[in-house]
Amino acid sequence: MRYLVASILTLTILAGCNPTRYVAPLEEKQVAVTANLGGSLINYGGTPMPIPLTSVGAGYGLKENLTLFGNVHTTSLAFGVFQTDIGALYSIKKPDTTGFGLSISPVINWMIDGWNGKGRIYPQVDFNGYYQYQTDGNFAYGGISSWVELNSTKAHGETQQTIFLPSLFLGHTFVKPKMNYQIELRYNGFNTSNEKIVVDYISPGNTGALGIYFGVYKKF
Amino acid sequence: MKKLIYIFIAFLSASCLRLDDNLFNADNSIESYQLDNYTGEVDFTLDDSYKIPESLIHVFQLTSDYNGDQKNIYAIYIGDMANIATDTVIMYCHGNKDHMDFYWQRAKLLAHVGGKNRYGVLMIDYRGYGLSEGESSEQSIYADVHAALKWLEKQGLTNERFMMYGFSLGSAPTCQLTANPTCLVPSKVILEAPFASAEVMVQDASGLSLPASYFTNYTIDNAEEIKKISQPLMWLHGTNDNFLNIKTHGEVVYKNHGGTSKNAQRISGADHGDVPLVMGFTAYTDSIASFIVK
Repeated sequence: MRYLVASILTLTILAGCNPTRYVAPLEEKQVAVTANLGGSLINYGGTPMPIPLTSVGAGYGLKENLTLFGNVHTTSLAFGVFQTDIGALYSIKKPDTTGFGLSISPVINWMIDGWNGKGRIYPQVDFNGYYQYQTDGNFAYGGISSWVELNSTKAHGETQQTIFLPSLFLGHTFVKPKMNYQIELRYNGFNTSNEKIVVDYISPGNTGALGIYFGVYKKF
Repeated sequence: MKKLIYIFIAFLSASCLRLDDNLFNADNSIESYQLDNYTGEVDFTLDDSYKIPESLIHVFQLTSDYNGDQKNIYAIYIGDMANIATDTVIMYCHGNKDHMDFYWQRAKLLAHVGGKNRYGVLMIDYRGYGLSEGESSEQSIYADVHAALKWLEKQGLTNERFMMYGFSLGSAPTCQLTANPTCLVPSKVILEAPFASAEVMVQDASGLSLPASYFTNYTIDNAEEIKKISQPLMWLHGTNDNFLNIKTHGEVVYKNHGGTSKNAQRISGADHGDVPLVMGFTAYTDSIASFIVK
């Protein structure tokens, strides 16, 4: 029973719609267009599979230490939900050649469905650390991110217990002159029980969901 | 600009993917109902002491009309069809899986409530299930159960001797047709492992207060419909229900019941499909019998 009904919720996220957008800033006035694929892992009829969420977007290096970006979630769009995330990456520390970098990224996730016009806004903040081990090149990164639930109630007036839906992430970006390739593993919603719900999420314990994500960045 | 966004969204909505059909996990590959000879997966199997005499098993067809879309659906009545006008009858609305063979053991249990064949039991396959024609939707299952109630009414059954029992998805037509009567109205309602709503299902899975409409056009809003139901309610739910969480689904439905008489059976250790098994078949039937005669 659960396998088919689970597919009703193939868009459900445990706050894991996409990989980290930007970890290191773009160069000043540099433009990038991006495409991302991936989502939380679920057991579907006994087979582990990632929820195939996709998004496309663009980024712009406003300053050397400030990158602006926006994305549209294309899988959601196919289901009649216009979902977007708009944010900025502020570089706290950037390595000159190689070394450690730090950044922070506030994001607004906004979505509205085309059926009833119901909208939701979820603020999000990412704290990123990365190690660039090649001069102006590849880097590994990790960090913590959290969505914030603004509604105090959920369906039928029940109290919304979950205020923060955090994720831990580890990833790697392969940097080429015109392209970046990103792979990321996330542990989404690790503070939230994944038991006794319709979706059979895959996780190390009884909370959250592991997710795997891929990203491609074309730089101009 | 605002107009353009609405037009864009409206355009998308016109051709959008929806996952509504996935709610119905029907199997329509069978050629006949096997009942006791069914060898497919079931939640539990009763021993021979629960066998129903052949003369009291009636498989027949009904015509269900959903907005002019008429389909032949299959029904099984357990009991003496000639005595429906004077018997007490339980309408059993099954869950979303397979067909009536899967639920036959459950229907037989109900036919043993208060003693062997004390009460008549009617069960149908919603359209698209088993041998029933068509395809199910939230609204069509209400039409299918309405057709069954009309049939019972035609046999002479009256409200005071009529009960409805909804298991899992079957809680939706039970609540809908009790809260918004179209013909027969049950005098008592029994819900086993009910849905609260599609919205609760979405929010449980996402951890966020997302609207159900992001994923499905169905509402299955038992938690709201039950507010209109004043008939006595018996609610059974496994504490380990791994599909419809007892806290977020069952407790909300129970809490929202609009009547003053209600009976909760929280079955320790039971999962979604094994409440009668974990309770023990005798305890289960005794419990329902005492609710009905109370």
